[in-house]
Amino acid sequence: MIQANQLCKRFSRGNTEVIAVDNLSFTVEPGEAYGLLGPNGAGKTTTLRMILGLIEPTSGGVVVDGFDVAADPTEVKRRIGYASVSVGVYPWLTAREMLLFVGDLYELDREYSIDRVDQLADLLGFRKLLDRRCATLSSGEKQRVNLARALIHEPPVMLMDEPTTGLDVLGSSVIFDYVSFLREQKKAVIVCTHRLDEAERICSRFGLLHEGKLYREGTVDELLTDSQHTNLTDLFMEILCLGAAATQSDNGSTASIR
Amino acid sequence: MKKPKQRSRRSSIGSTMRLATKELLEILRDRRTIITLVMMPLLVYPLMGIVVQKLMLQTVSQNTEVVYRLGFEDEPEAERFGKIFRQGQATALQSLGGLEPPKLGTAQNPRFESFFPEMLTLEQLVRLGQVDLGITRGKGENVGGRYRLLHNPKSDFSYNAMQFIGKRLRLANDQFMWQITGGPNRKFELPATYQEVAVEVEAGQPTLLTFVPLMLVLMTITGAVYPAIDVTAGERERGTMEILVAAPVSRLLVLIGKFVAVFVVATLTAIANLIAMVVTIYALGIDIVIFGEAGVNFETLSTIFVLLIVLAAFFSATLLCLTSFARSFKEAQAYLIPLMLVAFAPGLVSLTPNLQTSNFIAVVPLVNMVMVGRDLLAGNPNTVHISIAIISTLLYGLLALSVAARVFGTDALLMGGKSGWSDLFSRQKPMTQVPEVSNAMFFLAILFPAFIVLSGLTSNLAGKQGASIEQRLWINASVTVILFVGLPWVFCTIGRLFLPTTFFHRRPSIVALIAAILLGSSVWTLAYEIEVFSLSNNRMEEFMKVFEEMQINLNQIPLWVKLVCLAAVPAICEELAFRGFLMSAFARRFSAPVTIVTTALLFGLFHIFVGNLIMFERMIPSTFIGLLLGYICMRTGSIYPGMLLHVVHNGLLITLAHHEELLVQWGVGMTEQEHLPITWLAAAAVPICLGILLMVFAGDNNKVATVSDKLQPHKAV
Repeated sequence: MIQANQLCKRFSRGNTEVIAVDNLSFTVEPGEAYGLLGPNGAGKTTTLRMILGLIEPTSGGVVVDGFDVAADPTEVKRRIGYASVSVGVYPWLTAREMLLFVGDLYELDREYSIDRVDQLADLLGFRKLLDRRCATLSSGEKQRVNLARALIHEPPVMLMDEPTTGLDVLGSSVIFDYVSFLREQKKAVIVCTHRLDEAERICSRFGLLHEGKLYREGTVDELLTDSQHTNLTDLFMEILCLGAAATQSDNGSTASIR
Repeated sequence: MKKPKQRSRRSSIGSTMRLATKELLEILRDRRTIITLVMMPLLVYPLMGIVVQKLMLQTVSQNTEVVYRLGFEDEPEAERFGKIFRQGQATALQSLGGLEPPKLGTAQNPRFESFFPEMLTLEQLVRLGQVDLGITRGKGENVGGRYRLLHNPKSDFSYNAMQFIGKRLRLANDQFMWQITGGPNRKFELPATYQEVAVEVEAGQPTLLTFVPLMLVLMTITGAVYPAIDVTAGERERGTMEILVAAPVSRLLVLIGKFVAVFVVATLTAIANLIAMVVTIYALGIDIVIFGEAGVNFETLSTIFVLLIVLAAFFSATLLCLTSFARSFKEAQAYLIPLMLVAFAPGLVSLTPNLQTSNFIAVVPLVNMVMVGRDLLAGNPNTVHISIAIISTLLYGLLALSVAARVFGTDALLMGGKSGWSDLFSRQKPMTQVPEVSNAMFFLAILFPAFIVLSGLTSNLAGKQGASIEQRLWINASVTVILFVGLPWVFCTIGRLFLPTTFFHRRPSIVALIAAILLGSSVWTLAYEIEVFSLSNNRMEEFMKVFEEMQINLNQIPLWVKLVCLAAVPAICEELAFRGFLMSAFARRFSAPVTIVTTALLFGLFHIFVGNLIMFERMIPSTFIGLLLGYICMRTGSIYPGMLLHVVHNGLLITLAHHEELLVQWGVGMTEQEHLPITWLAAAAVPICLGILLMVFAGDNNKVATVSDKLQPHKAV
């Protein structure tokens, strides 16, 4: 369903060049929830944005549901739902107005949109908030509206960037349940997170990113066996230490953290 | 669960309207917008009106000392007049019947100062406002009185001075009559008869009249500022930009939706300001001071409203362009404050006294609207200036919008990279096949004003230098080359554009060339008939005068010079600019029909300017020819068949005009705008049909597709 082939993204900041994503390749099959894990600045969000076609890769490419992102960006966008903690809401619109507007953007039939909004509101538990202006919603409520926004067109592919940030236990649980539901529906899901507990709970396979590179990939068992760790947290710490060691090395120190 | 049902037909206009509706909903629910839209005009104009009223009252109270400046031919004349005047003044004081005379220096008893011309005549002094009244003795039998009172009819002060002096002279006459003759007696010549002579004064505009459109313009801009920031930088700051760029909608469409919303708010602001200003002016009774005795009518206000709408479109696009670069409200405000200051500067220039609207001023952004608005309010509208101002302003707006489309929602802005402005102005490193639409808009935004200014400039220079008609033709041909070939070439060099693809340089088939010759030699009949049908009787007369004048001027010029300067050079240059540079740019983004129609309309637009006249009717036949030329270029993938057609078409018309006498003998006068004989039309139909058929066969769909393929963005050669 999703094929990332040797994705690279370099940003120029002044005279220096920053490599955000470096030669990244992975595949996500229908019914699979793929967890992109990594510390801050590992390149998770940039990867998601390249899959969605928001950023042009420096090299490499992505194919979503048979459509190349560079060649058919519109068809790709039609097939992706994108939920991110960085995405905001329209303060002066009600939740219902905002969702119907997004339905218009995806060229959905109005009647279908109206039904779908009610359905998602029931599913994500914000039915009572539908006619309140978004500015008056709490951050958790905004998150739910945003998730509904990403799902309104029933996309076969879901990209979720830190989906539970700002949500309480109940809200997070709704997200976990919905991801399971999506997997049952044979949708492909990519979840970017640094919360290992939730990643372990909802993802079937993982890609561990470090400085834009795919450091390890596999199921929890495969990762733990390969790395000889007992849990994902230790593996994650290993990545963080790699980053620290690299920084130390750049500074001319030979000291090793481990 | 039901499958998501997508709309069967995707309409760009529908999508744009839905986007615009959402933006408008957001903007209008925000109280800050309502304050700018409603409260500002309701507060600002009454306050300003009261200030103007107070200032006027203050001016009146400060000027309690009424001193009339009188101009005389010389000192003895002033003394002679003084004696007569004093007689009249004494009579006036006697008539008070022992009451205390009015204080000196008031309107009832003004002071006087005498002036004597040195370099200028009395009439000139009055005209320049250096004296309020010129008093000269009439000469000859036909003079209506002994004295001539030269006054400025447009100055109340001058008029009052004349009324006062006239009254004293009449009293002096009465006194003379009663003292000398004991009553009215026509046998004696009265000593102080006079004639009122109004001095012709040039239409210098009062500053307050210029202030009205300037104020409207500035308030319209103010109305668009907040919405423009909110829908661009605000969207980014709130994090909702990602909703839009993640949706399967083109960025251009999103931007157009935002433009429509900002434009609607700017237009509403313009309406609110126009109504508030006019109501305030009339309610406070300062209408005569501002608009003069004639006042303003509904038609003038409607035209001003149209100008404001054009300006609202221009500023909405400009503001969106600037705010598209901004990543936050703060950054957007930092960009817009200089714009507001820059907008003030040309606005203040327009307040310069005696500044007249010209073709040059009509292409200067903002100043053109203020000046044209002032002319309208003063009752001196000029269609050519209004048209130039509207067209140039719309082109500038399109340029701003296309630049905005280039940067709006780009990953650099989305991700917070440091590019943006630098990306826009940086020279493209790899060579590109064809220009972008923003390049085309930039080209048009320079071409149009340059075309107007340079045409006027060369015409004036040639006139002042006493150049012959033939020399003028060569100068005009050179200007055509500079504008229509030189300018695109500069764009190609700076933008590193590949010339063969930009200008459709491709060897055409022989069949296409034959078809072009057939069409070129016959299609003029259709264009001619369309032109005749589109002209009303009055316009036809105007048209005939222009062409008769041109005909007289051109009769003596050798045919080959006319063929080069009026047929070949314009045809080749226009093809390179319209079917080359512009068409390749539009084809990059739009479908073939949209590209052809857009280019043809622009081609038609440039043909409505004939000398100092503007002839909208010429738009129809020129656009028709433009459509044909555009189709041929897209069909063959080559610029040359159209170029050949254009040269043959122009050349044939010039040759026919050159041999007009012969045509008259045949019963067809070109300058009489008669319909062509039916036999001619029938004869032309054959090559037209044959030419079109050949062109259809000459064009190879694969070739067209190849051209379209090449028009993919950023493909390095």
